[in-house]
Amino acid sequence: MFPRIFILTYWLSTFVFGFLVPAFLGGTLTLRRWYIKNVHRLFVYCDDIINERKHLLGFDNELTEEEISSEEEEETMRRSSRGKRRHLPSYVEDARNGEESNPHFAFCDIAPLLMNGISTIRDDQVTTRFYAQENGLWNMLTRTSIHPVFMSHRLNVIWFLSLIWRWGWLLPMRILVFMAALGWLLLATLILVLLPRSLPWYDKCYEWMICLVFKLVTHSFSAVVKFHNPENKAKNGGICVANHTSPLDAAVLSYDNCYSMIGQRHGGFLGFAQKVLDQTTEHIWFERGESKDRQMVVNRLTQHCTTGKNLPVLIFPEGTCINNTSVMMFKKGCFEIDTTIYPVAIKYDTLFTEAFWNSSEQSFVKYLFMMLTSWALVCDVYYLPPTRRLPNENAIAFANRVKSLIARKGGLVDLQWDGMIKRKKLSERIRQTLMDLERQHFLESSALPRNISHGNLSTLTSVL
Amino acid sequence: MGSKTSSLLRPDEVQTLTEKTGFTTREIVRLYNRFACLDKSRSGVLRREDLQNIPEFSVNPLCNRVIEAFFWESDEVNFTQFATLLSTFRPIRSRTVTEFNNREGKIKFLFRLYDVDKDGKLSKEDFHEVLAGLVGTTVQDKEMEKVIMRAICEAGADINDDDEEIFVTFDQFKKTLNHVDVETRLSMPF
Repeated sequence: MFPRIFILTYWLSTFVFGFLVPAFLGGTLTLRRWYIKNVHRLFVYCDDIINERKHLLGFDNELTEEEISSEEEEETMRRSSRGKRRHLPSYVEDARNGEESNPHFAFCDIAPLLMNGISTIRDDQVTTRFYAQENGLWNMLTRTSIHPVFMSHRLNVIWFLSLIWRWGWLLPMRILVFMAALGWLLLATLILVLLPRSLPWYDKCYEWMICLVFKLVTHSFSAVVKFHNPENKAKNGGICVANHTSPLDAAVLSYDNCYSMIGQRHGGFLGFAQKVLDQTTEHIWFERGESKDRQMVVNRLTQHCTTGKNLPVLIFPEGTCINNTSVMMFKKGCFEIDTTIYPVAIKYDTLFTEAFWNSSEQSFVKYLFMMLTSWALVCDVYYLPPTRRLPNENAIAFANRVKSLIARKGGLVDLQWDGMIKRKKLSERIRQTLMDLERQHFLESSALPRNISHGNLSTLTSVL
Repeated sequence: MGSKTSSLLRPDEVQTLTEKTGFTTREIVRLYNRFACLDKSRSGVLRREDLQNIPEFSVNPLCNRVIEAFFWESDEVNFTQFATLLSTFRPIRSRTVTEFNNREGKIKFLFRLYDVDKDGKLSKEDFHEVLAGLVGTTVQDKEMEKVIMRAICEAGADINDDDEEIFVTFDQFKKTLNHVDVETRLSMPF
C-alpha cells in the first residue's frame, strides 16, 4: 500500500510541478532548448557508430574508387548536357538562316523528349512532396531507419534506452499534458460562453485563455518554436496565410496570436475539437470539393474581414499538407478579398520529428501518436511584412507573389503544381493543355512543318 | 521515403542487380526507394497507372510510347525489370557496359518507341501514330505524310507500289543513326 501511494505522489507531483506549472507559466523553453542540443549530439554520435560499422560490413556510404571516377564523369556530362540542351539539328539552323524551309524528321529528334520522360520517371519534383523527407542523420526512430540491419551492440543499447525514454517517460507525460490542454479547452469554453461578450475585458480574457490552450497543446509535443519578426503579426480584419505541413500548424501559430480558423471539416477527434472551438468564436468550416460551399466561404470571409473587429483569419491556401520542402499552388479564393494579407512561413526541423501528416496513409489519431512519441517539435515561424493586392494585379498573380515570398523566406522550393494531385490525378483538360505546351516546345526545336498560329498558351496559372 | 522501402532488398539481391545492370549499390538503393514511392498499391510491381500518376511525366507527349516500351513484355514490371530498363540510359563507360546500356541496347529502346504494333519493323502507320502524338493536331496530314515518306526513304527502305509493304527494319534504323552520338543523347546521370 505504502509504496503505491509514494509512487503515485511522486508521479503526480513531478507532473504538476515539472510540466503543468511551467507550461502554464511558459517557462520551460530554456530546458527544452538544452534538451534539443543534447539529443542532436546523441544523433551525431550514433551516426559515427553507424558509419564505422557500415565501413566494416561493406555497406559503404563511402564511395569506392570506381564510383568516384564515375561520379566525376557524370558531373562532366551534366555540365556538357546543360550547354547542349537547346542543340538544334543543322537543317533547323539552315531554315532559321532564311534558306528554303525543308521539313525534315530524323529518328533521334525525339531524344530530348525521351530523356526528359525517363528523368521524370527516375525522379520528379511533385510526387516526392507527398512523402516524408529523408534526414542526413538517423534519429533513432525505427520509422525512419533506412538500413534495418544489425549494426552494433552500442547502437542497440542506445536505441533501447531512447525507446524507454520516449515511450516510458515522455509519452505518459505528454498524454497528461495533452489531456490537461483538452480539459482546459473545455473549461475555458464554458467560462467564455457564460461570460457576457459586452464586458470590456472579454477580448483580453479570450486571448489569454485560448492562447493558453494552444500553449499547452504545443508543450505536449515538446515544441521549441522560434518566432521571427513579431512586429508583423496579423491584426484584426486581416488574413494570415501560411504553408501547410500538418494540422499542428494552426496550434503552433495560435501559440502566439489568436486567429479565426478556416478549413475542411474533419470527422472524429479533430471534428470534435473543431466543434468546441466553434462555441466561442466564429470559425469557417467547409466540406472539401463543394463548389457551392466555396462561394459561400468566400462570401463569409469577405463579411468577416470587412467588419474590422474580427480576429484575423488563418488560411492555408495550399489546401492540403505538403512535406515542408516546397510550397505548392495557392488557391486564389482568399486573395480576391480586398484586405491586408499577412504571410507566414513555417519551417520544421525534421530531424527531431516528422511533422508532415500524410492524410491518405495515416489517420489523425495515429499521426498524433507518432508525434507524441517523437523527440520534439522544432520549428521556425517567420512573420513576413503585410501586403495588399496591387492595382494591376489579379488574384492569381497576387497569390503567386505571396507564395514566392513565403517560399523564399522558408527556404522552400516554389512549385506551380496543385497540391490536390496528392489525392487525384491531374485533370484531363489541364494535362492536355500542358502537353500542348510541351508539343509546342518540341516543334520549335525540330524541323517539322509548322502551319499553326502560335496560340497563346502563356501562363499556366490562368488555366489552372 | 518511409521505412518500408529497403525491407525487401537483401544484400545478395543488390549484388545480382549491380552485376546485371551496372548500377552502383547507392544507385540501386535510390532506385528502390523511387520504385516503392511509385508503387502506391504496395503490390511489389508497377503498372501503367503508376507511371501515369507522375504529373510531370503525364504531360510529356511521348508518355504513352515510353509506357509501352516499359511494359513491352507484360502489364506489370517488378523492381528488377524496372532497374534493368532504366539502366539502358546509363552512360557508357568501359568498365560497366552491359548488354542494356551499350549502343545497341539504347538504339533498341528507341526502336521500340516507334514500333507501335510490336511487329519488329516500323511501318508508315507506326510513324503516323508516334508523330501524331508528338505534334497533336497542329500539322496537316499531307505535310506529315511527306515528312514520313522522306524519313523512310532515307532509311533505305524498299519502296514498292503497294503502300502496305513499306517498312524500316531494325538494321536500317540502326544505320540511320550511325552518325548520331547515341551515347551522349540517350544517356543521363543517375
